[in-house]
Amino acid sequence: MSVLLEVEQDRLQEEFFERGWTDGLPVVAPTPPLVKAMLDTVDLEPDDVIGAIPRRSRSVTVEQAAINAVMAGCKPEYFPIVVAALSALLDPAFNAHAALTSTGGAASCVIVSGPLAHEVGMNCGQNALGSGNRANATIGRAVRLVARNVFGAITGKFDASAMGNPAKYTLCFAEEDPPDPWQPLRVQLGYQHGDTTVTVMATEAPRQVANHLSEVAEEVLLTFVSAMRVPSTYATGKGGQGVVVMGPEHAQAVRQAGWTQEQAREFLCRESRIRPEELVQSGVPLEVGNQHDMIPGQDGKLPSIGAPSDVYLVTAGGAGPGWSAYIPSFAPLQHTRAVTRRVRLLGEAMPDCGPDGCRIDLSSFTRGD
Amino acid sequence: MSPTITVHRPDIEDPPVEPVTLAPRSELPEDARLLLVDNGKAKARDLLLYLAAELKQRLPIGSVEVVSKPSAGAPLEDDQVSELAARSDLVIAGLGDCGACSACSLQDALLFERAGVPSTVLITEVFIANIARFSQALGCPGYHSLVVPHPAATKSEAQLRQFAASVADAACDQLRSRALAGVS
Repeated sequence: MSVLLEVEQDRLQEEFFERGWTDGLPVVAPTPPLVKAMLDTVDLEPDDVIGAIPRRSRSVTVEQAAINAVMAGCKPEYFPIVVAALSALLDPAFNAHAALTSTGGAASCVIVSGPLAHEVGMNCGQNALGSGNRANATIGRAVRLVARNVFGAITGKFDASAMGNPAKYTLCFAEEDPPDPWQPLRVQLGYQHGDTTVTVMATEAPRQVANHLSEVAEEVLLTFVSAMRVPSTYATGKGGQGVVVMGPEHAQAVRQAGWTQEQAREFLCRESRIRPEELVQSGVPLEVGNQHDMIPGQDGKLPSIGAPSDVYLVTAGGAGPGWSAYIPSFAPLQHTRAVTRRVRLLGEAMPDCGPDGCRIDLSSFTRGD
Repeated sequence: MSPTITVHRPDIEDPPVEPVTLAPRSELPEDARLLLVDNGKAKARDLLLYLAAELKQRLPIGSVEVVSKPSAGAPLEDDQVSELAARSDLVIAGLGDCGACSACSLQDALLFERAGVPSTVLITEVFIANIARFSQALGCPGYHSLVVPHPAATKSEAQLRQFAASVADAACDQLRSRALAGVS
């Protein structure tokens, strides 16, 4: 159980700032009633462990997550999404030990796909990556406050970010389900349409993608490619992942031209490969014989994206002349990978294991000597 | 004085960590086996090999093995450490020239210390404080390190040789004496 403190009401914000418990912005006081309201939204015990960074000997309980979610400003109904996001962040494939410590200064990009995002009021439309929506802002902020207060991701402690980026405060948005035949991210990843999933990727800050003058699918996709093969991006030429956030005009142009999402991902992966000379001409030396062995493939090029499945293609954003965004992973694939978790709802029955799955006749076992 | 409010602490106490017992610095065999744990950062392998060449002039080293990690952002697995420790007498891990990689190379060195092999970690100077914080969190406050100027990845072969030579005596001391680890 967590420790309770008595704090003078007028001093509360200063007290939290002085103790280093905030991200630099004021917080909501994590009082027991507010924390309990958060806990009441999940079928988990306060002391249940959501996940851990074993090499750091630190784990986060549901209660600690709830405390930080209150501080971030979350409504209780957001909390199942926060729990799923933390579970994803603490999957070994995400490599939180490195992602929360690296000089690369990664943000924790949270993408919510599914009906719960809309039920709790998340924004997938106008200004989806921007400010002004409580759910988007505070779910992402809760994840970062846990990273700070539980896992020590604090400047001067275990966060060695050289530059950092503003998305480290919060980077969270909802996907707008695309029209048929395109599928939402959760379905692309193998979940059911009625599920809600949370995908977390350790990323750089988003970059805007503008193409206001073309509705030709290939031209639109090539504009994304230009954002994906930037020599100054750490993973370019080494092979990372990325989130392609297609705005409505760009998504419509590609979809109505008959491209499937799979075809678009393959195109983006293939065309974002880069010639070694382009990196060298940009002043970026090639790494050889180390962890990033930058040996060109048969096409004479190096990968910016590991494989088509490493392009997370989602649709979001509002109407405009043709705006989208690209969010690259902060490091190549051998260091970190995006992880997805399905949100479990309060009262949701556990899956049926089938007639034999859970029945063990213990009487058939005899004690061995 | 305003009324008080009851709130939960949002942080956790530093978790209890089993203190690292450093490996004994016993007499080296005449053909000691030196293991270099290359974390794959640019120039790490080169710098470690230059350091090994320097150590050969100072210690009875019979063989040098290099193990290259696939990612600088993760420490070695426990079973890898057990396997490597069984065929090593001394270990140097590096190059810690960024946040996650310096923490992970430090952990590599401490895992070998736990496994009974005298070790040290090679870092660049800007990560001294980072290493100090992780040393404490990992149960070995004040653990030693070999420090070269930052950044090493951009340096010429001649400069890397110079760096290796500059820390070779310290490496001998750290691998031969526990007192220098800050933990007696």
